[in-house]
Amino acid sequence: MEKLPKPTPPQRGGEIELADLVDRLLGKGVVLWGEATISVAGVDLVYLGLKVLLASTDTADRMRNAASNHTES
Amino acid sequence: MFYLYGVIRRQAEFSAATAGIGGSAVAMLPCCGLMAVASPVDIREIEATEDNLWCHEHVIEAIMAETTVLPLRFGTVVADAAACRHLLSQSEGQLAAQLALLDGRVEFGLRLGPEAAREPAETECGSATNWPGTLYLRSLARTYASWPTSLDVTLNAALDAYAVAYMLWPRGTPESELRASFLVAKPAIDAFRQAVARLQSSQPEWRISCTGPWPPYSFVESKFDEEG
Repeated sequence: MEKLPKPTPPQRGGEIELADLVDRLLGKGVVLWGEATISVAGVDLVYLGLKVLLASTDTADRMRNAASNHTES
Repeated sequence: MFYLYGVIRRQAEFSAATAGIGGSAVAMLPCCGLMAVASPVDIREIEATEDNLWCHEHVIEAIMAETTVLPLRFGTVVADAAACRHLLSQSEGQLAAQLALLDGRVEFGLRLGPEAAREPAETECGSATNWPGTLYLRSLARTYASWPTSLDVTLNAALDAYAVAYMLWPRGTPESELRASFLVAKPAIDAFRQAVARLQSSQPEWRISCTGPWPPYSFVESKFDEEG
């Protein structure tokens, strides 16, 4: 029997999991207005400390493309 | 101040085994027929670090193992328990209705992109027909601001039987991976995963990533009107 190729396995803490986590926690979920503070609503780029850049996936895509265009030219 | 993770139905007190943001204990703040899953914090703005994001997720997952949770967006902080009660009471009806819709259901995320290892060189794009799926996805990426009906139909045919609902994420940029979220009943999780594997098998020119189960972040109304 032919073995089914598996989709990319979801690794906890892997790059794709993290991207999906960021998409959901910063872009989805219930927003309770009023006395709550949404400290990062509408922000798609968050700096973690000085070295780690955490971007929503679209931002990451844009950055990857910009980097690859830069390399090719 | 309290950081809020999610909303559940009011029930006999139970404690989450997972620590909250900053290491503090997770507590339940009841209001009307609901309870907020919360933990005390010292600062109003919680930094969206990788650790804090995973902490938010792990608290919700711990609760999700026991009962249905409405996940809140990251960063929700209230001044005190009274403020939390006020928030829940003003949207109680809508929150309860959402909880009913999500009973026993979880979210899976799907990403589709061209299989990188089999991508033809840029110059071959005009004539190559060896990778129709890749060319198809590339042409979609260039042409469409949103998902075209044909891809919708393919996904539907492959996965609709195993999902209660699904939504397509808007395209952020033309080069973005195509993303979809599926709401799946817990007993159908294995069948859904197998269907994704079959879809990958039938579309080897696609690279399919599947993550989950997640709390159903993508299937909640993000904003409620105040109830009069």
